Amino acid sequence: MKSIFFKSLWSSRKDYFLVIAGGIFIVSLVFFTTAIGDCLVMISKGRPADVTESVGIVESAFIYCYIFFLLLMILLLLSYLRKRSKDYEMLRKLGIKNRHFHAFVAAEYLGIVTISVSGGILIGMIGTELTKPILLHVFSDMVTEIHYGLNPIKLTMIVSGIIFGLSFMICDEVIVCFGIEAVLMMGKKAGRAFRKSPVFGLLGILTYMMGLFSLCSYWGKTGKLVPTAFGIIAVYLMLLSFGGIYLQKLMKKERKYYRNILWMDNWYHRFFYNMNMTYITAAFLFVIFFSFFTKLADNYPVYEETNYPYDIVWMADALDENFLDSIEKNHSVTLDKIPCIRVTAPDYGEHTGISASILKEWTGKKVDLKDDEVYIIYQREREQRNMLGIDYGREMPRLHIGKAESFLWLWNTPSVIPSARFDTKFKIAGKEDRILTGIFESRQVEKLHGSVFEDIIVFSDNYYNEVKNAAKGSDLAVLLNISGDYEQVRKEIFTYAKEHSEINFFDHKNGNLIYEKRELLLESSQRKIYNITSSVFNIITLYFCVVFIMVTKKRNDFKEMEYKYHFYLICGMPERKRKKLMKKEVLFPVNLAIFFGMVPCIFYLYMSVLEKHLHMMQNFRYFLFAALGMLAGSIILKIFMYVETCWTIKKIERKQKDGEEKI
Amino acid sequence: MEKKKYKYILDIQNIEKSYYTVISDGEKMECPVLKGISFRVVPHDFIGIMGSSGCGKTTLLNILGMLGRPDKGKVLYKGISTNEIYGERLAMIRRKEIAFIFQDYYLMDSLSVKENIMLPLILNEEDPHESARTAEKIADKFKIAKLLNKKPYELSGGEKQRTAICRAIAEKPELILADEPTGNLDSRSAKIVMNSLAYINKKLGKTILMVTHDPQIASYCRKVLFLKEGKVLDILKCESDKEEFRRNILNQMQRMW
Repeated sequence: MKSIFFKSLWSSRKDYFLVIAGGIFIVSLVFFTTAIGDCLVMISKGRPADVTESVGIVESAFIYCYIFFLLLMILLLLSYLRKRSKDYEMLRKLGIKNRHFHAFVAAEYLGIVTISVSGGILIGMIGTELTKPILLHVFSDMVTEIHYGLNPIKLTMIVSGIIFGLSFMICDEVIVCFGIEAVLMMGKKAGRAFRKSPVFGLLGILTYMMGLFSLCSYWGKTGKLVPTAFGIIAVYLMLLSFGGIYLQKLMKKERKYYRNILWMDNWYHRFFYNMNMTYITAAFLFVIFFSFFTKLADNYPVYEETNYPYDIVWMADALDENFLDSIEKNHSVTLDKIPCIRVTAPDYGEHTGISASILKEWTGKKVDLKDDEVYIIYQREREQRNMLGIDYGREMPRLHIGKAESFLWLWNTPSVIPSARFDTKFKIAGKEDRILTGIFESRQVEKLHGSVFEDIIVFSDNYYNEVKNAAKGSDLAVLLNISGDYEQVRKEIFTYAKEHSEINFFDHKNGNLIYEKRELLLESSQRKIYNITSSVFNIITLYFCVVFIMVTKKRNDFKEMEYKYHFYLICGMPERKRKKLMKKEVLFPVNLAIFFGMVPCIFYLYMSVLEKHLHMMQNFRYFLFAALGMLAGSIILKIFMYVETCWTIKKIERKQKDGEEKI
Repeated sequence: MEKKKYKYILDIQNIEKSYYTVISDGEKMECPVLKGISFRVVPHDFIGIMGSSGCGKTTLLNILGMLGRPDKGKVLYKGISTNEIYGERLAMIRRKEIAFIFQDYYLMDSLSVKENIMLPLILNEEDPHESARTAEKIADKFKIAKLLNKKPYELSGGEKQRTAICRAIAEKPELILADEPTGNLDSRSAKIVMNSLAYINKKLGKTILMVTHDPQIASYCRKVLFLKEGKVLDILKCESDKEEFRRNILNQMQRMW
């Protein structure tokens, strides 16, 4: 029995190795992404990532990829099953015992899982080790060594378990529910023919509009998960519907139909198989263009001086005026003093509170506010724009007037949450994105994850005057530009502040509320380099997936392509035309995927950039990045597939020459 | 292709062909298949090629169809050596003048019966309306008109082979090369297919070369060529009675094996 098993497996070794290669590819990418994610955590935090952070990276950056990996694995398994079903059927007809049959299937699948997981982890490790020197080079001023611990292995095992477990269960269910015939139907003979589904098209457009709408709503402001989910569902529905409609329309135009049928026959015949493979590619491209090229544009350029209009911003006290006068007198500085209060919000951030008349005096902007209303000026990086603000999207923030203090949060819960001490409820009368003092990110205590920028909250004059004396914390924002001896001024201010000034509650190093442009520029540029690096890795990883899917599809279709190529040869089709048709056939799903990945993405991009309220030039940069990315991505993908097709044609021709008389 | 007067559509002159099999240490061993074959095919002929398995029947047919080249000797197609026919010219001959019928039908599962029949016309970029009409007419002649919208995998073996025959004659070729066209069929289907081929030969005047194992099938031909160990052993002609011709074929086969 063993020898039958091994011989039957050996006869399908090429297909078996293709599934295993797919498995290894998937597992290695899972390992690679988690390991690189952990390395980046180490770069930013100076310590290896804990499990929560690793899971966070997986959830935030790679969850889509893993879902597509699952789909890819199912497609690979179904395609393998189709090819193996002949042997299974033959053994069944010969009366193989159920016990033996199950042992066959289990051994075969276990082989796939074991080799895929072990090989994938090994290749992932090699890939990560090869990448580490690059990361060390890029972040040489931040870290001297990088390691990623055991989390990637643990996570890879879990994710692989889920992918292989679910794939098996789904394939098993397909066979149980629809019979092995259903699997065979996906094969060469009777693939599911094309179907025109205008309802799907309408649903697709509706889902797409919902996705666009979600970008401006709460869901778009909390992250890209929901809009992207809407987007990729819409892409599938539209692809199916418009694809079907196009094929039907083409059929009606006889001349065009017969001109194209020679390479499009498979699209009519195995519509769903072709569409599914195209869809996965399109979805990957959608995620690449929408998420990661936007992130690149968000973080480029890494060094943005315009985000910091002042050399030093110090949250001082009215009592420090004498010291400030001496600084102004003794050094060559320009100094602005803005009376303010500290305001703490449940977003774990401390903000600057000013009155409407101070705002008018400072910026010339007039806002009319009632006592229970606030006007918010968000000072955020481009990446953070169009994110939820201090109100969490409810337009009714609860605030604490005064500096941040421990009693404002509940510390005994699994994560720190705001208490009921945020007791004053306001209505947001208006908001804008504008940099007045600078982008100051709270340096948060260890237990609080995330980052909050210091915003300006404008109150009505009446309310401000009512609460300003009772508000604890700094009451004077000092904005300094130093043209003389920078180091001396800096030293004097920092020394003075250390003795007299408020401690930043969120700073685990207990620093004062002093923000220095020089230091912040360095910090933000490092953070941006980190973001760019992670995006670049994501883009490369997903491109690998795209190429792998297309190559897998082509390999799956190889026998049919070979058959067709040979058939056209004996029918007398000139060599040039034969090659042209083959190339068209292989490149068509690539073109379709690029179209359906890009076009919906352009409107998404437009909407999300629009919501950031940026200058024209900055908007232009986003589109330039996306356009360049799309162009480069399409060209690389097309060139790769073109070369791969030429190679396949050569292979067919070589085989044909080897057996030119064995038709 | 320039028009020339020719007496023989195919003139096979002493052709030889060998295959090479790799034995141990990468050494190649020569296996001669055809060892000096000569015969001529006149227009409108219907020739059967018979012989035991491995005697070179299919190899010969492929050389005649210009799918392979002989190692030695030459084949003249309408007076021109096939060695001089290549590229566009060869493709044009394949499209317009020669058609193949295979044992395993060689139909495209992704296309309907009608589209399969239309394929040579599509390849020649002929008018789709005209092509569809031609396909329908031919299908009607071979009694598969009802199957035009079906896919090949929905047909029986006989129906598939009739589709392949319809496709073969769609472009009105002069020469049809059939490699065991009834090999996969039951006797009833085989009879229908052979009647179709006989009709094509007699009524449409096409030249047919057919490889077969079956003496009953071979008796539809006008001549039968017997191959043994790569050589032409004998050529039998159907002088008058078909039944006698069949008996002669059987006798010849008994002598051969």
